[in-house]
Amino acid sequence: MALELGILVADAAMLGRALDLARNVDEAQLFLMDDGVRVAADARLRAAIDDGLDASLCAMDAEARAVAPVVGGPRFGSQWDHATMVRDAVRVVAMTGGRIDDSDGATPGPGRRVAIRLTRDAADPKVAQALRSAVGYASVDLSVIVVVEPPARALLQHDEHAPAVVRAVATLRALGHRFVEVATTNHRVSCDLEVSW
Amino acid sequence: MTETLDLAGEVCPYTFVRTKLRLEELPLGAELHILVDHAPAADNVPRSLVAEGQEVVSVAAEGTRWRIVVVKRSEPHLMAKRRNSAMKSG
Repeated sequence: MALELGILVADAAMLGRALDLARNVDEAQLFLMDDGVRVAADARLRAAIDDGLDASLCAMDAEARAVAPVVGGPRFGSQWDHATMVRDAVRVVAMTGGRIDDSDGATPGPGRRVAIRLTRDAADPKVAQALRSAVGYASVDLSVIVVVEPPARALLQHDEHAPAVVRAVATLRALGHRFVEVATTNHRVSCDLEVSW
Repeated sequence: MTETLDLAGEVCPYTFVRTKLRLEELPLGAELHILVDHAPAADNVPRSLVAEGQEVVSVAAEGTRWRIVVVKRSEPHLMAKRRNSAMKSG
């Protein structure tokens, strides 16, 4: 049976909404990263896990925020968990702190085309997180398209970015993934699902 | 055939990406020793390798590092994608 719903939460304020979505399906998976890891000890999340929700978080982001493992809480996982969720879920909802993406109906599996939409200044830490997750997507044979909106345009104009950003861009390019600069925020690209940061 | 991949100082997702790239260079049946020094990688790299069809023989702590021993049982495709892309653009 395919995974019905995958939810990415990178914004702690979105936990309640994510759990509401998960409650309405038979099989859901939740991945927490960035500031989303701060809800690791939230009683609502532990109750949902107790009820059968498969939840994990980015151990690296937890470590960076001094978030420790909690009994009955999410598994300390990796971007691989995130990427396989995005690859295998029929419906993917992404809540990263900006717009909410809800992609449904595209065929899951390897080769799925995922657009990572960068909506912030290239120096914003969320952009580094977006690109790190994109490298994770590439590692599980997803086809990545990085969509660069005007606020992030500097990403493609020079190489003087944080080392993590430079490395992720170089890795994605070396693996043959695409970067597309768009002139407006409502310019859509051909893809199976989008994750906006 | 036994190879070693030293990933000291490396973090997610590059631990997994570099492991996958190295495995792609090896023949089926080859043994790869992966050295990591980031604790979550000692759990997460083996778990992801098993899920992708590789055989994890052992995970052992060695001081501040971990040695993951894996036998290549299936073909990853990251490099193939890269080569295909280079051929299209070349």
